[in-house]
Amino acid sequence: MIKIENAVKSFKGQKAIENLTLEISQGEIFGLLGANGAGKSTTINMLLGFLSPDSGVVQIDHKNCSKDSKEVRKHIGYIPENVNLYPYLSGIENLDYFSRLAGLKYAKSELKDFLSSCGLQEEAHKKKVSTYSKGMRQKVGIAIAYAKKAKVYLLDEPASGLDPMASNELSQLLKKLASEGAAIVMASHDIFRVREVCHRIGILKQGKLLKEINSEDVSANELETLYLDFMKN
Amino acid sequence: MWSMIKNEWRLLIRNRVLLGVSVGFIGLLVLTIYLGNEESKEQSERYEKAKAHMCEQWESIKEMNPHGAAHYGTYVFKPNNSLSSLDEGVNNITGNVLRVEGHVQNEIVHSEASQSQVVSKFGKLKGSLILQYTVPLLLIFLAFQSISGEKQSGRLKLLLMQGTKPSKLIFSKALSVWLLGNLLLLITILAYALFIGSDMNSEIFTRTAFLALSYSLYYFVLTALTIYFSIRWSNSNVSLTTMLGIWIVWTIFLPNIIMSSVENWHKLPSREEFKTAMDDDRSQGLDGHNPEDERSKELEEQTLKKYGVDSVSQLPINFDGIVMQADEEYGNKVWDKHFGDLRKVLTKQKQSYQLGGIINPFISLQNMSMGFAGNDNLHHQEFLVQVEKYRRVFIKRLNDEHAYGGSKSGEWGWKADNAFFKSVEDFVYKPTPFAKVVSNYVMDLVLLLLWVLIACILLILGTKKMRVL
Amino acid sequence: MKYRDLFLYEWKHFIRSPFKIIALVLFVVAGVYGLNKGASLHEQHEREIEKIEKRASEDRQKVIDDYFITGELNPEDRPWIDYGTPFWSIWFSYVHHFKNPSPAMVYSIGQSEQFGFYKRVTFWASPYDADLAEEIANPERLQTGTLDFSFTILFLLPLVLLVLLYNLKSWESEQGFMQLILVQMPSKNIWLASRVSFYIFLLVATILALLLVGTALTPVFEHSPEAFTQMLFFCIAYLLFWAALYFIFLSGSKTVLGNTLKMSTAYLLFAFIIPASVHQVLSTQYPPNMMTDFIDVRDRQQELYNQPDSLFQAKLNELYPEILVSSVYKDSTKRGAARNRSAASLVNELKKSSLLLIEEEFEKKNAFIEGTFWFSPVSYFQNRFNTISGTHFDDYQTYRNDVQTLIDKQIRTMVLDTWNNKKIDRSGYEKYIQELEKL
Repeated sequence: MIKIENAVKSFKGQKAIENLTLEISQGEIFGLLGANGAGKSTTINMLLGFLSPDSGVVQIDHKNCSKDSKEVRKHIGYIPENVNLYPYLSGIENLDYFSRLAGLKYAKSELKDFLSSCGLQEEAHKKKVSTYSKGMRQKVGIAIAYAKKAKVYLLDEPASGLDPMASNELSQLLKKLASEGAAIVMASHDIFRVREVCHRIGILKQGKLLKEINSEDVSANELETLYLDFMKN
Repeated sequence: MWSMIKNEWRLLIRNRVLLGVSVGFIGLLVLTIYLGNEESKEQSERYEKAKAHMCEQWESIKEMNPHGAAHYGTYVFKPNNSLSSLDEGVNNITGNVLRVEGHVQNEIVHSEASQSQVVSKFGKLKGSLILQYTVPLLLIFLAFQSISGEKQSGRLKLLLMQGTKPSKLIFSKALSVWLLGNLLLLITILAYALFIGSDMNSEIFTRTAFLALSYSLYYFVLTALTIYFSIRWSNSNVSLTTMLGIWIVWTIFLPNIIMSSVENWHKLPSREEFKTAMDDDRSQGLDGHNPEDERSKELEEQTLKKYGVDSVSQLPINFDGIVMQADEEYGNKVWDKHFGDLRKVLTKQKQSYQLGGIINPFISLQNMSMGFAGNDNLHHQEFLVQVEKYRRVFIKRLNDEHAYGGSKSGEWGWKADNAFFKSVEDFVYKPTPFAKVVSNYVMDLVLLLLWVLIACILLILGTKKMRVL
Repeated sequence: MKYRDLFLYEWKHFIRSPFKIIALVLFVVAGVYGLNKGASLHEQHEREIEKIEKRASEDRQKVIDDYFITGELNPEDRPWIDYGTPFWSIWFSYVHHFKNPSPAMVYSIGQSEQFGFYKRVTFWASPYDADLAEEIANPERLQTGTLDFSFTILFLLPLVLLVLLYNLKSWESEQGFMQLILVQMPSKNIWLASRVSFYIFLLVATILALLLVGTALTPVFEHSPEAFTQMLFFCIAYLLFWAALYFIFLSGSKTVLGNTLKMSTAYLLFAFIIPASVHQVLSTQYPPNMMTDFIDVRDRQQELYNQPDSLFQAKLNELYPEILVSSVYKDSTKRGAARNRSAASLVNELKKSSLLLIEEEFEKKNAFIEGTFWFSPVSYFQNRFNTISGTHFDDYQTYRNDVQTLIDKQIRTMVLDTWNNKKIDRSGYEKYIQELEKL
């Protein structure tokens, strides 16, 4: 479903991604671990079609992400690190608005179900987003992606700002989406959450994919040790 | 505080966009003054040419009956004022040509605005256009996020933690933006002084200094108000939109609405009403051209008595000239009454409009700007009064020549010679000295100072109510 | 479907923005105020014309009652007057020519405050006489300008549009969720255009409503229905011009401040700086005409009077060849008086020739202004609105030309009837009035 082959991306001569090769199939959750500036967001942005690789291939469903970005984006659900929404609209209105942008029209009850299944309490649905905490906004952002029923989900630090319970709910949701056949890429710093949710994990450093690990093969503590070793060396 | 101002200026200079905009403004202002000065020169040339042409026409009269010459009359043109390149005021609207003749006080006609289709609703590219409409917007853009921006970025907390006093911070922010406004103002004035060169005199200097003062005060009000909203609103976009709203209401909405309302409160007569009323009053008086007129007969009796003769033909003078002058003097009373009433209404309108400065300092600024530039309606009326005074002296001179120049009553064919016509003085406009008119703008100045006070109070209140989060 | 939803959803964005609502309400208030201003000026002009017509009619009736009915054609106090002659009969015909205000004045008062709209036509008159001057008004008010409907459209509409659009896309970019939007809806421009089109629609509806309010104030539909459609067309074209301009800024902008700065600069540039610069350059190239050519007519008039009778007569004959076959011309003893009466015709020709030069300069000025319309759209639309409402310079020029036509006609009638020694009675006087008022 997702294919990245020898992708290179530089900014002002500085390589942000260097010969990155990755393949993620349907129903798979792939975690991208790395420090700030490792290239996680650049990878996500290339998949979103906002950045074009200098060389190499970046494809989703056999379509070039930068050339066919419009077509590719139709099948992507995206959750940014900071979900900013229209503060004067309620959570349900924001979800409705963003769904309509994607050409989807849901009944109110369906919208409520999406929000509830993403962990937003019902009493908050009709409140203006300006009264929401960061975590609540994040939940609406997740609901927006979920409601899109996409083939691919790209998550850039999705759990940032979520409380442990909401974070756990997100994990369950992602697993559910994967079980329904979606391919998911999750960029994160959270080693434990990545270990828990993802099937495979890639460690990125200075734009290079240093290691790919099956999460079943390592415990959380081992993964942390491995990660820190890579970062130090 | 000085170091904080210096720091603000450093930030302004280092921001390429702001620096570019400021340099652009300076260029535009200098260009404006240059173009205004070129126009002034061109207009003065045309004025001098027209004036000389009229003078030549008058002086080339070989011989003419003096009363015939009163009908022939002359024309006075409105001279250009070098301060027009700073603020043209009403000059584009008012006429340029005024006929000076016997029996009637004419109105000035043929305005520039009536000589072409509409070009600009806000007048020409004068210093005032830039200084009144665009520089304030620049100041708003520079000031609107001075506090809210610091708050949004979290720097405000840091600054206060470092021991900076809120009042010092706020006033230095306000002063740094205000000083930029003053710098633009100074450049405008210097460019103006440079272009007019040796024409600069103490009168122009005083007027320019007061003009600059009025702008400077207005800029302070606007800057302080923007900073106040920047303190009050946590979101800098809200402070920007609030100030843009104020700019629109102050500069575009209110001047129009208040001026129109003022004209409704103190109504001017229609031209037809004005003319009919004057004609009616005029017809009550003596008709110099009608020997059957009863008042003429009364005057005849008085004159005969004065000279101790029985008939007009025995008079050593030309009685027709006496009648014409009496006719003129009666007419003058009528003109004084009606034109005087008109001026009274205009004065009331002006005074009421000046009160608009209570809710809109822009009105005070506009009034002072065109007033100090010598191009407001008060100065225009003053010009018209001077022309009318001249007309009276001019016509009296002709009537006196008719009466006492050597002809006898009924000798309409008698003509004064060229030497006489050459001896009639030409109209010389004496621009109203600033000291004489400054009292008219005291209200504007006081109101603007009051706004400065309000702005200071708001800044102090803002200091007290400033929230870090 | 999605675009329609987007368009409709914009309503929610709009009603949750108090500042935008206030701006629109203020715009509507200004529009209604402006329409009232236009309507009141229209009414004022109509009232004034009615008053002058009434007065003229009373004056004529007085002439009929006092002189034609009594048969006393020479007033006692002014024995030189003879109502039975074409000269005096026409002089006292009190013919006026009016520039009747178009009901479309409700939309734009244009240059109506710079020109007169009524003129007594006599054979000594000229369309540049002082009595054809504008109505008495406070020059400072004229300078400030009147907030009429066209002012609302020309200067407040771009501002209201600015307020409605200033944060579209730039706010989303600033807040960092533009990417989310683009993932949901791949075309940024369609998303933006759908949103902008909502505001365009909102403003078109508002303008249409305001134009309809105008029709309730003056009989626009009855007298000039095309003015309504033209006004609507040009208002929409003007709105689209600004919307397109702002759209370009919005499309490329990333911050609200940057965007507002660009939009405000464009507003200042197009509404203030460009028209003012054109005005400034125009004024430097063509300073106000001091009308000296027109003034010089008085000297040329004097020269004309000083000419020998034969030359004077020859000029008259050239102007009106019909004189040669007239009864008075055949009687050399009567020629002198008729010649004197006909002097106005030659003076009129002098005035016309002097005005040619002046009007040529006006035409040059106008051509210069029209040459700047491609980069000064506000001036273009301003003059279009004035044309629609019949308050453009050209409308007043046409009016002046009509006045001149009537002067020519009056002079011609007076001269030929004088040379044909026509005697005027009441019906002749009434016929003069009827004929000389017609163009």
